[in-house]
Amino acid sequence: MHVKVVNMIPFSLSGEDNMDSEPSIAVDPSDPLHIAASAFTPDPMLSGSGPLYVSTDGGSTWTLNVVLPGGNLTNDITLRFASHSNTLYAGILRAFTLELNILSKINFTSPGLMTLLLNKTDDDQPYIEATTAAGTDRVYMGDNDWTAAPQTSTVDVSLLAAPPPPSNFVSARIEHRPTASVDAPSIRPAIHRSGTIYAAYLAWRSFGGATNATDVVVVRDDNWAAGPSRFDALIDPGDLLPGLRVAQGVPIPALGTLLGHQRIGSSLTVAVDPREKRTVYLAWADGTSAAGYTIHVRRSTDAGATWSPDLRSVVPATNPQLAINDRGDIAFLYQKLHNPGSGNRWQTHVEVSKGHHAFSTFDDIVLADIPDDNGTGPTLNPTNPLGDYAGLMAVSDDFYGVFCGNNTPDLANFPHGVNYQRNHNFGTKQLFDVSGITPVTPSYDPFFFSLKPDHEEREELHGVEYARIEAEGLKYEKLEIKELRLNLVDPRR
Amino acid sequence: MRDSHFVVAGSVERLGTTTIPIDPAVQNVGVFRIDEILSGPPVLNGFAGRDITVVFRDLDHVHQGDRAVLFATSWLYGQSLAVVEVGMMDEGEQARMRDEIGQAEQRLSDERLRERLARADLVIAGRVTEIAPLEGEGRVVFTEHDPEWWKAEVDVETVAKGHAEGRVTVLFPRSVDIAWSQSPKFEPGQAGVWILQRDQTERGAPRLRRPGVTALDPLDFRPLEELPRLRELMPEN
Repeated sequence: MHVKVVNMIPFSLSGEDNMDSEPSIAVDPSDPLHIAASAFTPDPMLSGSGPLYVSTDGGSTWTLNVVLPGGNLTNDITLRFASHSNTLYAGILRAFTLELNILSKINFTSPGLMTLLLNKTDDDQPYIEATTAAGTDRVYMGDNDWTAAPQTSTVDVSLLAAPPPPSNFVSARIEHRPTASVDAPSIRPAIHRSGTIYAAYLAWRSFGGATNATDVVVVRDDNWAAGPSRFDALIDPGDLLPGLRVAQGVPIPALGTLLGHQRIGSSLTVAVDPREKRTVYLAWADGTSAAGYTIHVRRSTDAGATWSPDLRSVVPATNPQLAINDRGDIAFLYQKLHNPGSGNRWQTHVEVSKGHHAFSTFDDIVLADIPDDNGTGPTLNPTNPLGDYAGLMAVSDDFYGVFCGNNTPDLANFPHGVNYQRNHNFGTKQLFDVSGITPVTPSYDPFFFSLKPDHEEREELHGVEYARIEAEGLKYEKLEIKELRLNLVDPRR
Repeated sequence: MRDSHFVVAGSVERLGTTTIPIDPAVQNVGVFRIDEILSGPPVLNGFAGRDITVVFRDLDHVHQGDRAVLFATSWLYGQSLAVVEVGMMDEGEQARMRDEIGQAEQRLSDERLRERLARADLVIAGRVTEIAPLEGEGRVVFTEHDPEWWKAEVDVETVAKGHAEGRVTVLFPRSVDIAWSQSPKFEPGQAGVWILQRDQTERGAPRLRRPGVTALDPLDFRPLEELPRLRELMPEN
């Protein structure tokens, strides 16, 4: 596996010392060299609009493109490209008013603000997914819509995501049980190209002070969430209501509980196997304290009806992310606090398991092992340096992700190496501004990473794919080309 | 100046080329060498003496070798910079511009304050006597963006706008979440000038707001010694 880690702050901003936290990432499935990312990074010129990170070389270099409306930086933001249109979609919370916007941009490298598709108020943590089907872009945004309180977990769905607002969006309410007043902020959709859509949420059933009694719930829709009963396909046998309770009444530390410098309390991710719509992975974190904040990874192979016991558990850790590539390999990203005796440190891991192993064996790749140190720069969010989430996705055989961490240029912090674009000296472990002379104090930066099979591994993987096609009675002919990428769609699944 | 966030003096080095990869559909591009940064964020100070990319409004008024003062706003920050022209002036006016930019920045600062003062229901000078969590807060939603409302009791020494006597209770978000971290926080003993709105509607989701007087914009709490300036900037003046 080839591992690439890149500090995303560009050279021109070598002098910045902001706390650029809470990252998200989107890779264009039809052109994986095109990648967009985000963090709490302001436009230094304070133009009144915020920047996206853009890369056109597969993440090796990054540029900030000032295209986000509504303030010099956004609050929460997540990104996704549709699968075939090259259009980038963003779900953001605007600065100041906290209005939730869904935005789009046909060419993510061009100047000009993103186009408004939907505006909502009293809403939180937009988490966007997108695809292209039947020639149109379909967008699914998980969000915590307080206007639906007390049943706030929502997926906003548009099967034709085109302006003008509201761009054919409808709000699918996926919570069907009483809550303690609202659900937790994390609502996560996952799209299978067959039209099966999963969503997971953390349902706060009661508040107990230090912890909240929480159900971990998965819902499913089998037809693009196009019908009148959206996300009602998965019925819990316990109460016959839509939404399968994978875990019931688990304690989750109240929002604001600190693990190191990082607040915790709503950590959730879901991913569906692109080869098999019935195989879905879920991870969340619970515990009675920060020290006991445990990520659980589980799997269903029957479309969410039943779930495995924990395939993995990690403690204390946060920001779980799951992604499954076209081979069925699963990547599990998380950030774990540890103290080797010299102070707290954040280890960012990505574990990769073959699908048929389901984490009985896996490769554990430590991308970074960084001091839990906020630095001395301006701290817009001192209790959220990592962010409430990191980012991970799969395209073809490859995994792409983003995480945040202290940016001290110390190669010992990056076991698989790292590239910095901003001025730095790995020898003296110092940052410098554009002049290369004036030192810059450490702060938090976003880091991009990619995991790609080595050439030999890729050839072997393709051989396995050929064998699978043959075994299923389909025919193929060997092609004499240097590299072949197949996006296989089996209509029987 | 109002729409320009980067003012630099220098020369047009080349037209039709860039210092940074850009969308090829973008027209009217050129390379501008910065001799002096007249106004801009400190993080870009190191760009004096460097070439940057400019998207000019058109190429009719720009020629290779022109020396000029460029007014621009942001587009791309990468290996180099790309900015969008807001306006250009002849180099001959550079010396005058240097003085005028300082004055313009002051005018803009005044304008922003004037706008805050115009929106205010109450402007007071005084001192914080105590702070406490807002009683009976009655949180409607639990969220990571909770403002965590507290109240500051301010002994009023001067009323510059509106009506107040004795003591005013100012609500403030104690949260350091990104949604609220830039709003002023108060501590006992703190003295200054508060530019206050009653039942504000400009910050936070509606369900996170609370009735009362607040000073939520970073400009809404000023040092005491600014009171004379603020009085001059009052709309009625």
